[in-house]
Amino acid sequence: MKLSEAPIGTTVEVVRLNLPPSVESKILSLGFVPGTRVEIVKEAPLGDPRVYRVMGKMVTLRREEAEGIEVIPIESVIPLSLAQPGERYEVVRFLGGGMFLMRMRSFGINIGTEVRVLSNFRGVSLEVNGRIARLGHGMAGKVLVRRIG
Amino acid sequence: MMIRVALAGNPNVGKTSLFNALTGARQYVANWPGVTVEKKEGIAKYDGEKIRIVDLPGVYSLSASSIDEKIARDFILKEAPDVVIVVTDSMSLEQGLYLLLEILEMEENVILVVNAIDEARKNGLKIDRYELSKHFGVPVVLTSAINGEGVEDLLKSIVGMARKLEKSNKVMLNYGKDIEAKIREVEKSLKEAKILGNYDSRWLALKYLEGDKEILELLERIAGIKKLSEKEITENKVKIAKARYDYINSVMKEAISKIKAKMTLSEAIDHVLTHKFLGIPIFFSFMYLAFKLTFDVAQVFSDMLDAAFSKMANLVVQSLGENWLSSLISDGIIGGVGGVLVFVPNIFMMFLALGFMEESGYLPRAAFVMDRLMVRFKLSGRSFMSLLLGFGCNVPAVMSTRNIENSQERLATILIAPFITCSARLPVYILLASIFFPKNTALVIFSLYILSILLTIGSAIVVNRLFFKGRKFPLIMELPRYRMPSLKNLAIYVWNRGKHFLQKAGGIILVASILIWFLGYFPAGGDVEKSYAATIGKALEPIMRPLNFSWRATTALLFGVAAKEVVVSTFSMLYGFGEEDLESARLALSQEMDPAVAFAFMVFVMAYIPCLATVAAAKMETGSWKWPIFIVIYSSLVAYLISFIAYNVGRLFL
Repeated sequence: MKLSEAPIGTTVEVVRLNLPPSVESKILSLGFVPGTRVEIVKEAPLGDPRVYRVMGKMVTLRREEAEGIEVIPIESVIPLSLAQPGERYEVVRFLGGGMFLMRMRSFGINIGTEVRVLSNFRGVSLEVNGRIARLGHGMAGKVLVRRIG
Repeated sequence: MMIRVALAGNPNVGKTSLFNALTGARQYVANWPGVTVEKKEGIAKYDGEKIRIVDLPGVYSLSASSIDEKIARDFILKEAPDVVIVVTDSMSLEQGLYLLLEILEMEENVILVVNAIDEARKNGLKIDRYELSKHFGVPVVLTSAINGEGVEDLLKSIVGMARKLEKSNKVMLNYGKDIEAKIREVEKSLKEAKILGNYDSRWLALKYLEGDKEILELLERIAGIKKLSEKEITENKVKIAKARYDYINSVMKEAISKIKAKMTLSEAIDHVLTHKFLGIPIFFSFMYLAFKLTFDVAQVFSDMLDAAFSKMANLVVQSLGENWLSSLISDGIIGGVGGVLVFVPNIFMMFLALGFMEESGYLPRAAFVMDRLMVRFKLSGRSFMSLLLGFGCNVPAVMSTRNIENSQERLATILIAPFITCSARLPVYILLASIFFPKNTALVIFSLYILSILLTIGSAIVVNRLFFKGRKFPLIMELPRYRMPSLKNLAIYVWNRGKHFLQKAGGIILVASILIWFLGYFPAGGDVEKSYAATIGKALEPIMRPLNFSWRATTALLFGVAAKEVVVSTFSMLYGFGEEDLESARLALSQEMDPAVAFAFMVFVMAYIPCLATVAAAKMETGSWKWPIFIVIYSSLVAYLISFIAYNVGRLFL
């Protein structure tokens, strides 16, 4: 996946760069070298750019540049928005605030809840304790899950 | 003999603080030849030796892909300093060691400085300098530029290296089978072509493999080695960078031990200052404070200077009588010097605020927070701050671009900043709007501000098309740790930049002020109506006829080039009304103007040639006359055009 798609709070590993030469040199020299771990720290109030932690320091990149950095998640924890249909997952963390947590609770989704993903196209449909819930893509991105089995 | 030292390092590692600690006040600031990047030089003395230190621009690598990198690299290659110091930050050492490896490939006399060692200690980081020294083959000095720790050791090490007591051993990093084979191949063809000169063949080969534009062209031209494909270059670059980082990581494992890792104070502060909801309000509160300092607090001093200069001018007139000499001294020279000096409090205060934001580490955060807004106009968040300052005065706005990292973005910001309507234009708006739009004064003035913002945005896009081919300036920057700026560093920051304004812009403003005085005084001995300026105004009137500006209005615009608020006093002279007497001003002005003309005139004042001081600042910051001349011509054309539109639209409604 692209670095721009990796959700906030996760850590990924750089696989490949796909950028114009002048930007590529700068990105490489800042430490985005294949094999390096990058943590997605936060996003700006207006949604872009984001802050990444690489080589012990914070670096800002706009979406445009982050799209040119190919990465793979190194944790087994992924956002629900990247989950595979048919698989079962356990909820491990929420990235939203109070309102978001309340919404999740109303769906019966808490930390430790087991869910089964039914479909993942423009939002995620899941089965939670025998009920069907549907989350938008943005919301699903704020639920971190770990695959079971 | 003088020992020549170059100070290299990543941005934000405390290089400037270390430079200040080494040289104290014995430093001067200029620009690197031909470009607008700041060059700092200073002298240090130790053990009877004089050490001349050049502070190179902060860079992450030496690939010559930016002006900064090119300057740093060319200096090390061509000036061959006696010692190169590589300054690194103890808290993100990998990055600095990367640069060290690159420099070691082209230079032998290198000292590694690990700075901010006090912070590392506080964070439970232990750095073994003997391990570092062993693996990189260079002397290592641990310093803290903030409290002066290790500075003397560094001086000792510099002198020792210059006297050949200490030296670094050339490190040969193994880049892996693949790259090493390629290096040997290129080296072979280089040796056959016999063009090496002073260059190191391994270094040349590496740069060639990394796709360094300059080296590629050089080798193709001289040695006939063919250029590499983009794909191959990317592959090489990644492999080379990876080999360097792998080596660094293996050294780090030996040399550094970490005791604990927790959320640092810096991260906690950052959480608040770039917060999703609080980030923008906090940014605007800081800007408000900066504004207060730059304009309100400084105003007290500016007013004092202003009063002192008027008093001095009066004194001259009283003692010499009313003649051309007393007018030259009082209006031309004292007025001109005063015109320069009234900006000084604003500029010092602006740099104080900016310096605090930069030294503390907030500045890049502000750019981060506001970036999204500016992307559409092909600028980054950093230029937003400079443009905002322009509402107070364009001169500090232009000067505050000094630390925009990307030189093209910096130029673009300088070119558009004059369209931001500064506070000096306000007296003109107030006079005309309150005479011709008594019911809608505020609305009219507000519309001028909106127009000014639209014009700035439009110009950003035009300027980008014209000069930068629609390229965006990427916002790839490091967010340094927060730290408390030291008083000494702040003082040096403010003084260096303020002094620069006085030296460079001061002369231009003074000469131009005297010229304008001359045009207004001669040949009629002070009678403005018969002066050269009025003659020029009359000559220009036909050009201004489509806008329906009279020769008096045109002459006022001419004087307004000195400073836009002068338009008001010129009106009062030409139309014969007291500046405070609104009623007689209304009578006098409404004979020649109607609301549509008045509005068009205000639009013209908003957009046309920024004042002399701004033009001088633009000359100083861009380092050539080309850009200020572009500003003058472009803004005059734009002013004419939109003023024409405003007049004709206004005629329909007013």
